[in-house]
Parts: sequence; structure tokens; C-alpha cells
Amino acid sequence: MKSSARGRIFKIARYAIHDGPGIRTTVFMKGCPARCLWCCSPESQSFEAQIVWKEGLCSRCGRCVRQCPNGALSLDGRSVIVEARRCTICGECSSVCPGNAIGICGQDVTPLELLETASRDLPFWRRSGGGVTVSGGEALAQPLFLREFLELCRSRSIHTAIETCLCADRSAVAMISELADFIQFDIKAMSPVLHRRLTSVDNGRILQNASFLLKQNLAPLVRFPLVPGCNDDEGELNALGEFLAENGPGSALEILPYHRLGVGMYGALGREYALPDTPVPSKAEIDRAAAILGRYPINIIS
Amino acid sequence: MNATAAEPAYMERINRLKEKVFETYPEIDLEDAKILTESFLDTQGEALITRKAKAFLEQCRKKTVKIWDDELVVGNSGSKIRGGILSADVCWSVLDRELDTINTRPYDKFHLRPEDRRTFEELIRPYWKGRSNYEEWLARIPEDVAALRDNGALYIDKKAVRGWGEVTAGYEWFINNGVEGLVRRIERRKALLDATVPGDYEKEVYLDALLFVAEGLVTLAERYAIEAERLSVATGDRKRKKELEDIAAICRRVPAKPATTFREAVQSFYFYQVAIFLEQNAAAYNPGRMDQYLYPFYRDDLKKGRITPEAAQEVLDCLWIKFSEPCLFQDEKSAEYSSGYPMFQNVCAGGVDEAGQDAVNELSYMIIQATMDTRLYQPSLSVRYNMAKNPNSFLRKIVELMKLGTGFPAFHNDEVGIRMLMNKGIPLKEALNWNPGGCVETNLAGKLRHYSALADINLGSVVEYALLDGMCRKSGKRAGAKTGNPVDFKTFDDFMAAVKSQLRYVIRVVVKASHIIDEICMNRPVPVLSISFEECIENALDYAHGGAKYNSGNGIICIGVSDLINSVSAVKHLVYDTKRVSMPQLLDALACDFEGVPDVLKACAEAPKYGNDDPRADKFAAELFAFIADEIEGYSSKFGRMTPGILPVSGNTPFGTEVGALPSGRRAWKPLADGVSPNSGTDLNGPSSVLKSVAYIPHDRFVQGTLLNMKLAPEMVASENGIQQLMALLKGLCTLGIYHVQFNVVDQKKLIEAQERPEEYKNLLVRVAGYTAFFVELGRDVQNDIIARTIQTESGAQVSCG
Repeated sequence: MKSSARGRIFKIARYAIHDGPGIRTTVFMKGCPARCLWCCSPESQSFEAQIVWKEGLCSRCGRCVRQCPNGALSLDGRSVIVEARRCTICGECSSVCPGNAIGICGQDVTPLELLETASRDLPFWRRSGGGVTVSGGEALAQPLFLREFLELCRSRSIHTAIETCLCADRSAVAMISELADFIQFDIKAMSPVLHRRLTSVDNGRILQNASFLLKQNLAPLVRFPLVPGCNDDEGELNALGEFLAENGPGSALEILPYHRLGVGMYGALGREYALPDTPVPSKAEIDRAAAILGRYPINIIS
Repeated sequence: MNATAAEPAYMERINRLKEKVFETYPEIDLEDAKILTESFLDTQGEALITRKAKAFLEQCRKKTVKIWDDELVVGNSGSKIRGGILSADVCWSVLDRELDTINTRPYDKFHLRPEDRRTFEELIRPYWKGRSNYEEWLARIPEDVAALRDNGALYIDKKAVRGWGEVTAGYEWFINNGVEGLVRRIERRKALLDATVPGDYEKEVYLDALLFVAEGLVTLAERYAIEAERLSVATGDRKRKKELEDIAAICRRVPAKPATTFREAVQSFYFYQVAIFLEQNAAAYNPGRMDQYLYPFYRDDLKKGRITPEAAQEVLDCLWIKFSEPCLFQDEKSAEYSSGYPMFQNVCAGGVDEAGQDAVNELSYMIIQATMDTRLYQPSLSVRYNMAKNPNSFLRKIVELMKLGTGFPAFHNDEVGIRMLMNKGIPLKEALNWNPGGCVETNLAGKLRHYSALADINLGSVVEYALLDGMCRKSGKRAGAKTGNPVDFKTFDDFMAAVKSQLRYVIRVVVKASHIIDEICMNRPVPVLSISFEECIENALDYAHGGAKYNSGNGIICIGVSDLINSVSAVKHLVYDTKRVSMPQLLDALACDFEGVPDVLKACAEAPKYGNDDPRADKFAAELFAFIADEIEGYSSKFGRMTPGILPVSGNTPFGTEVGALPSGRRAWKPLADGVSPNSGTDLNGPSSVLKSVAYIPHDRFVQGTLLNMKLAPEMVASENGIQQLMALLKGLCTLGIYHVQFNVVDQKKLIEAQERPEEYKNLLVRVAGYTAFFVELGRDVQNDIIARTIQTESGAQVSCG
């Protein structure tokens, strides 16, 4: 098959067991329109390739700094600093790093190339009902590429799942509703003001898309990231319950407890983390949210 | 994991028994050696086999007989709870060398009491000096074998320093016939002999020896019955009194008579297990398929109301504790290659029956439960999982045990095991009854003789020899073949040819050595073991002499699989394909262990690696291991075709200390990879890609087994979904034709290590919904959070296998 669109990805994870049915290979697309305060993969946000420095692997030997042809790197004793304006993403730093602590995040692939890499776990899909999950970043932000990739998977009987925040055009949402075998999407907040504050985007289009998917009998999985102090007050939880009860009674909702695993990546990108003091929710807090949502006719998955 | 609240009542006894094992320090136990030596002094002039059998009878008559508190299953090979037994006739001198250091050596220490030391110096040493198998071997070892051994390319002494082992006796036949039944068989066979026919005299002598053994077995059990009666009179505890009376009644019946109940079957089994270990100190006397041969007794007891499932579980648990008591005594060097007093008594659950149908029964689950209850290092628990026939509930029970982090069970793909047996020349009908032995070897109860792991070949040395024209870097001496200066290798094919020449040379030398050991072992008959081999009685020929139904050539074991593959892959990729590093540059870098040449080290580390589902590396797994199997199978011994295997026990670490830096990027003197596992920290794509790579090895041709170790992050099995997907992963493993895997759960300690040595833990993945990352790439604070959340793996249970 001739491929036209190229997609930009930043990671492929095999034996992913939380991203849809069975054993899955999850493809992370690069670039996202939203900027959630708690985002656990900040390297996924920019649509451009970028340099990432990993603190834990770095021996502070300074070889990358000396190698950089554009003088974009400096070592301030503890950290390697990347000056994005000067960096041309040439990868010279990575080629000399002894610990692979510095590297390029973001790689361009055709749908066919992606399929070849992403389908290597086929023997395990057969036994588990698994397949490929396209996540992000925002999977729907590269719709042409995504369409071709999903068509390719369907032509080879590979099960596909999409993880999306639904901040996308209706045409893209309609496309996945036809071509993907399983859809999971996030709802982050119901109040438009709050949503904008937490994610920097409006949720009007997101909720319309959600309603569209919920009403199509596709049995999508709705996920709600529970972030203490951000979106866990009773009014928000009730609003979410009402929305689901109205648009998709009986639909499945998974509460994703906020976690801090991605905090280190902010340092790797030379950025500050927006929620330095937010704790991960306690079991009691998760149970409380589940209890409130449990009043509505929805199926809560723990 | 903290199930104490819900623990069944029988666990009180089990916990007390377990405590006793933990509290007892291993001791050298010379009682058996003393009785053996005294008996040999009395029987001079008689046939060797007669002397061995009479010595066994004396041991049974005279040895210490003790029953400890709380025991339901009784028996002990020596005089001490955790004794290391010396086989004086095989290898007395091993202890001689270590009299002063046996309790201070780095691996597997033993206490040696002054009175035992005196017995050794005054009785055992004077008699056996110059008479042991080990001394014969040292006198006969050829120069080229010694050169490989002394330059770290070969470990071959282990079979000369202890007994046979590596065998599955005919336990089922023994239990079902009882000693009386065996005696009838022996007498019937004897009646067919005619002393005027050449050869019949030897047969008569042999069968008479078996009758001494039979007498010994019955005598031993009777003495336990007497002891139980004595204790039952002495005790004031009414409950214990009844237990002791039951034990006495059981010991009065078995093993003399065929077992009639589950308790009798277990006790009969254990008396025989004790007896063969008493006869010869050795690793891997494998009980095998206990869920099959004990099941008829269990089913019958249940039906007749003689036992409850809980009572049967308690008996099994008690037996499990007994398995953990004895400690393999081996020399310092062998202990380094296989540490942890490794008895390797391999018990198996699952698989198929003789009609090829599902053989899983209630006992299969109870056997797994016994290991979950006791969490000790013995028995070595294996499962035969037959994807087509065994139920999902059985696979689930397996995964539940894996979750506990004891390293058990060793998971075996049944179909591959069956094919391995067939490749040893055993017909399918019987191959269906195979059992895992020792570490991951394949065996057949009461029918098969061979040394499954005679010698270990260091594949790291093989690479080194190919790059140094046969020289050993550490010693500077020539030990391998002359294959030329690699700078003159114009093409990759030239390099590959050198690697294959070195392999061919090493294998040839090992085969020669194996034949010598076979010859020496003709002086090592084992009548106690042979009595449960039906054909040994029919042929009136000892196990050691080829009396078993099937005999096969010894096993030659490869260590450093991934090091070989990755080194060849690196040379191809860097020197011949991309030309990123020249051969002289590479040789210089290896000579100085990459010091001062970080670019070469980086290039080597980044060359395609086995374990990542990268065909550029994996194709060499296919090519080289088919070649090695061809070479090894190309030779035969007087017993049959030579057999290859890949199981390191802990030999990858000492072998590593013999090998300098390798093109794979492995630094000098560091451990080699274990089994068929990728080098530590070099597989970066998760468990499924490891399995894809490992599948390139032709497992079914490595008939002595292939061993795969994998790490399991605790959160991967924390949820129901995680359990389901691990089950699916194991089915995937079966689909790919891989033979074995065992999982080590990554506990808190390992995570702290990973923080300190990230280069060795590059492959450790952390997963939560919607997020996957490598542990070593996370920030320090986040790492600390995860460490704090991770459970400390419970109990001291450690698997020393691999």
C-alpha cells in the first residue's frame, strides 16, 4: 500500500496491559492541543521534535556540551540545559552520550513503517485479544495519518484502540468511530471555566464529541483523572455523573488516580511542574469520588 | 500476601517445622561415610557391587534414627537435620582439601565438629586415599581438557566430586510394588540364571546385591517404627501420641508392602528418597510427577472418608519441609557454580497423561499450594503446562504462585518437553510421561540414564579465543584453537568461521573428557537407585552400567548464550556493516576493557542486542545454536548420542570472572548472561520482545533444557487484568515454542539497586494506566515513591537455579 501521510510519534510501548483489552502495543503520538496541569508526559505536548535530558542516566561528563555544533547546551553543575532557540535537533549530543541520557524525542514514520514495528507482538495478541492502541499526545491531532494507520490495521485484522481527550474535529471523531475497534476518552472537568484553567482549552467541543460517541452504541470507556484539589469537588463529580447518565446511561467509567510519575520529565525538558504540592489521592478520596459517581446509572471500573 | 489471618489451622504445625529448618545451621554429616568405610573394611575381596549393597545394609542397621517434634513424614539420610553428606568412595578428598575452610568459604558453608574431623582423619582418609573416583579423574585428565578447564573455558569436575544425581527414580513402581514385590521380581529373575552360562555369575552377584538393598530398606523403616513407638509411649501429649502411633503403623507397612493410603504412599516415597541420597550424595534426585503417582491414593482415601483435603495438604506441606532439610555437600568450586546447598529435588505438577489428555487433578493444585504455604527453597517446583489440554484454572494457580516472588514455579512448555524426550530417542508413548529434573533438564521416571549436565562450556571464552587466536586474555596462555589474527579477517564470514572453529574445538575436547568420565563411572554402581529401575532388574545390570531402559550421552551445557550472540552481532554491525569501529580499534578497546575509549564502548553497547526482538541480533541466535546442537549431536558415547542444554545454575558469574571485555559491550570479568536470558539491562522493549528473541533458539534440540529468567515488576500482576495478561503472555511463550521461564519479582531491594546501578536495570518498566516509563529514567523523588510503595518480598525463599 502506498502511504502518503507521515505521523510523528515519540514512543512505542510493548506489553501494555492497561490500554485496552489484552496485551497491547501502545503508540504514543507526539503533540497535543491541551496543556493539562498534571500532564504526566510533557514531552508529548509539543508537535515538534525536541531534546530530552534524563537526569538519572547522566554522569555530567559534559561530552554533549562539547559536541553540540550550535552551542545550544550548557552544564550548570547539576543539570544539562538545552537552549531551544539554538537547538536544531541534529542529534549530535545523543551520538556521544555514554549513558544515553540525552536524546531526541519525536520520530517521523509512515503508517506502514509504524505497523511493521507495532505489530511485532502479534503472537501475544492472538492469545489475549490484544492489539495496537494509539495514544498520545493526542491521537486525533494527526487525523490523516491516523486514518491510514487504522485502515491498514483493519485490512490485516489487527484490533485497534484509541486513547483520546476528544479535543478534535468532529470529522476525526467520526472517523475513529468507524475505524477503531475500541475507544477510550478522557473527561477532565465539566465546568467550562475550570476546564479552561486546568487544561488551557475549552470543553464545549470535547463534551459534544463525547456525547456523539456515547450515543453511538460503541461501548467506549470513559476515563476521569482524579486530581486532588483540581477536579474532585462534589459539584464537578455530580456534573460528570449527570452528563454520563444523560448521554450514555450504563457506560463504563474508569477513575484514574492522579500520579506523579512524570514529574521528572519536566526537569528533563527544563520546565517547571505546575502542581508541585499536589498529593496523590488517598484510597479514601478515590472511594469518595467513586461513591458520588456511583449514585448515577454508570458502571464504575476500579 | 499477609494472609496470616486467614491461614488454615494446619499452618501452625507447618510454621513450627519451617522455623526448625531456618534455625538449623548446615553441618557436615559423616555418619554414613563412617559406616560405609567400616563395612568396606569387612568386605574386602567381595565384588564391588556386593560391597556397596552390604555397606548400605549396614548403614540402615546402624545409622541414627530420629523423629523430630511435629513431624508427620519421617526419615533422614544421615544423623543431622541439615546434614551435608560425604560420599567417601566417590570423593573423600574434596573434604580433605577443605577441612580448615569448609565453614569459612564464601558459598555454602558447613559446620564441622571436632569429633567428625577426627573420624575423617583417622578412619575415612586412611582407607579411601587413592581409591576414589575423583582421584582417578584427576590422574587421567588429558592435557587439552585441563588447558580449557584451567583457562576458564570449561567446568567439568562436578561429576567427579559427587554422586550421579540428575535422575528420576522409579518412585511410582517402587511405591506400588513395595520392596516385597521387587524382591519377588529379583528372585524370579534369579531363577532364570544358569551359573554355567558366561555372564550369568555376574548377574547373580548383581541380583544378590539388590536383595541386600531390599533388606536394608525394610530394616530402616522398621527402625523408624520402633522409634515412633518408643516416643509414643514417652510422650504425655495425647494428640502427638496418636500421631506417633499412626507413624509407627505406617512404617511397619511401607516400603515393605505396596502402599494402600495417601499417607503410606508419601512415607514410602520419602524412605526411598532418603535411601538414594544416603547411597550417594548428589543433586537432583527428582521426585517428578507426584500429582500423578500419588493421585490414586488420594482419590481412594477421599472416597472412603479416610482423609480430608486439608489433612492431605498438611501431609504434603510436611513432606515439603523434609525436602528442605538435607544440604548438598560439594566442593568449593562447584558451590560457586551452583550455590545455595542446591538439592534440586524437582517436583512436577500438570501436563498430560499416557493417552495425551489433560492430567491436571486436585493434587496438581495442592502441590502448588504446598509451595505457597511453605515458601522454602525446596522442592524445586516445576509445572508442565500443556496449552492445548490443561485448564485455565491451572494456569491461574501457576500465576498466583509466581506473584509471591519465590521464583517458583519453573514454568515448562509441555509440548517442547515432550519433543525433547523424543529427540533423546524415547518413543512418544513414553515421552508423554516426561518430567523436569534438577534445574530445567528433562527426565523420564525409572527409565532413563545420563548425566544431564556433565560439563559447562564458557561461550564468552569462545568469543575471546576467536578474537585472540586461541589465547585466554586473563592468563595469556593458549587454550583454544589457532584461528588466525582477526585483523586479517576480510569478511564477516571469516570471523564467523573462526567462532565456529573455536566452538567445534571446545566441543570436541569436552566430548573426549566426557568419555573418560563415563569410563571412571563404571566403578560407581548404585544398587539402591537401580532397584527402582525395572529394566535394571530384568537386565541384572546396574544403572551405572547402562541397565536402564533408555541411555543417552551426557549433557554438554552452554553458558553465555547472549554474550556470544551479542558479540557476533556487534562485530558484524560495527566492523563489517557500518564500519563504525575497525577491527584493530575493537581489539585495542577490548584489551584495555574500554578504558579511555567511550566512543567504542558506546558503539558496542548500541549494536543490535538479543532480547529486543531485533532480527539483526536474533538471527545469530538461530544460526549459532543450530550449529552448536549439530556439533554436540554429532558425537556419541557408549551410552548414546551426546546431548546439549542451556542451564547456568549460577555458573554465569564465575565464568564471567574468566572472560575479558567482549564486543557486546560487556565489561571484563563481569557476569555473563544467565541461561537463554538477555544480558542484564540490554533488553529494552519489555517481556514480549524478550520472548520473541528467545524463540530464535532451537529449544527442542537443547534436550537437557533451556533456562529463561525474567523480572516481574510487582504492579504487573497486582490487578486482575495483570494476572490475565501474564497468563496470555505464558500462552504466547508456548505458541513461540519456548521451553521454560521463571519469574523473579522485583522487590524493594532490587529497586534500590536499580537506583544505584541504573546501567544494569535499564529494562525495568513502570506501568500505570495510560503511562509507561523506564524506572531508571524517572526522577529520584519519583523513584523513591515507587520504592516506598513496593512490597518487600516475603520469606527467605530463594531459587538458586539461574
